[in-house]
Amino acid sequence: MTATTKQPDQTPPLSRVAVYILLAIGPEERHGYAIMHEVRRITGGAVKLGPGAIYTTIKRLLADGLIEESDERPDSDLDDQRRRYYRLTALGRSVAAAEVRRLDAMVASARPWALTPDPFRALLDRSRA
Amino acid sequence: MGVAQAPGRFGTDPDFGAAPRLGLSERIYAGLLLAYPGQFRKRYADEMVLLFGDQLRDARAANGAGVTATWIRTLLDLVSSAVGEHLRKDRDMAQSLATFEPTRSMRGLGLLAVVGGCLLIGVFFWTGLFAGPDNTVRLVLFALSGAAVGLAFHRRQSAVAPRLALVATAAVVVAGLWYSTSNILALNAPRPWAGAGGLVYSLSSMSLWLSAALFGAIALRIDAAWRGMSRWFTATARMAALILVIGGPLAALGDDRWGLTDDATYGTLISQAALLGVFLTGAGWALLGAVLALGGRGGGGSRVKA
Repeated sequence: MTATTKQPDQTPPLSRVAVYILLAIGPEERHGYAIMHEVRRITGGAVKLGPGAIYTTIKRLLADGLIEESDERPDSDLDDQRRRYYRLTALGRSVAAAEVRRLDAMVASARPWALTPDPFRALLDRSRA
Repeated sequence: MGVAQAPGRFGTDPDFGAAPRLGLSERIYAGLLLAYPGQFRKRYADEMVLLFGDQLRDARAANGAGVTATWIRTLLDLVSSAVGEHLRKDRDMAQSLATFEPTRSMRGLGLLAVVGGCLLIGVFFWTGLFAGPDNTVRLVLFALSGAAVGLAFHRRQSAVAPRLALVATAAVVVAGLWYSTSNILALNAPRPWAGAGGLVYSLSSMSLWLSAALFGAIALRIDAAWRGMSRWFTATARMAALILVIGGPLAALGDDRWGLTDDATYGTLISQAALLGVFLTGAGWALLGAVLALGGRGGGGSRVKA
């Protein structure tokens, strides 16, 4: 099956790093350094990805058809021409959207108790009620 | 797709310019990338070194201690991702073994093995057809048939057992080239196995037969060369490997230098056994070549074990 005929629910489960990278690329075209910075930004500095984690994941995302490499190269005056830029494919956008919906639902279900002063007590109260 | 507007086309945040020339740290990191599989390294090494250089630059700009932390984090990242990439590479290949779709080059090598194997056993049916220089051509083609099969099956076998596969392929390739060279050099020698130089010739001959047996034994042990073939092709290939295991040592008995075939008591028996071994080895390579040349359309018969 080719990447273009895949549906979001037919793609293999994504690792956490893969989700970070998909969300970090977003609507832009980004290279490894920009992806690394964006991951750090969207996770509030909690996740610092190294070159190995970034490029082994990029390789898998390319193979799964979730991202693609941009054909264009930057102007040599502005940037190193060896840099490659990656962007989401249509499938990648769908998968990213599905992942965001899943995370959103998860957060929504946890919000009522997780953000109270004593989440465990709240959970206990709910179970008794 | 919605490409970002001009300022953000390549990402909005990092302020990057042309990368500086590689420093010592980047060169060391580039060397450490040998830990990754070759194909991965070939494709991503440049970008990884660039990214590492960017991280170092950031760390230096922040404070000196950040450089050490960056190195430690990068080394941990390298170890974990390199191990993962190696495991993934083997798993990907093992999964692809579920189907047998020989490439054009594999089919070509298979065809060479069929020709070489058939030429070897052809003299059992058409005595005298190959004489003089023609016989050298026949022997060289036969010697290369084993190397062809070894090379054609190498990637599949190495996905399951890299070291064993390398031993098998190296044995048939080296023996094939050695025997071919010996035969070409001994083109006009009436008794190439005699004399001091004859020892090299005879050893090359021995290595040719024994490497065939070794290849057959390893192929049976690894059990990966024929995975994904149809049931009949799998059975044929397994039988061919077994034939090589039996035929190779028998054929080695017939080398004229050792004089076993001249033995007064067992000479005739050894001679017949050696001829049988030659026939079996030729048939074994020809069958494996045929499986390579014709296989791949029967669908997956055997399942992946890995």
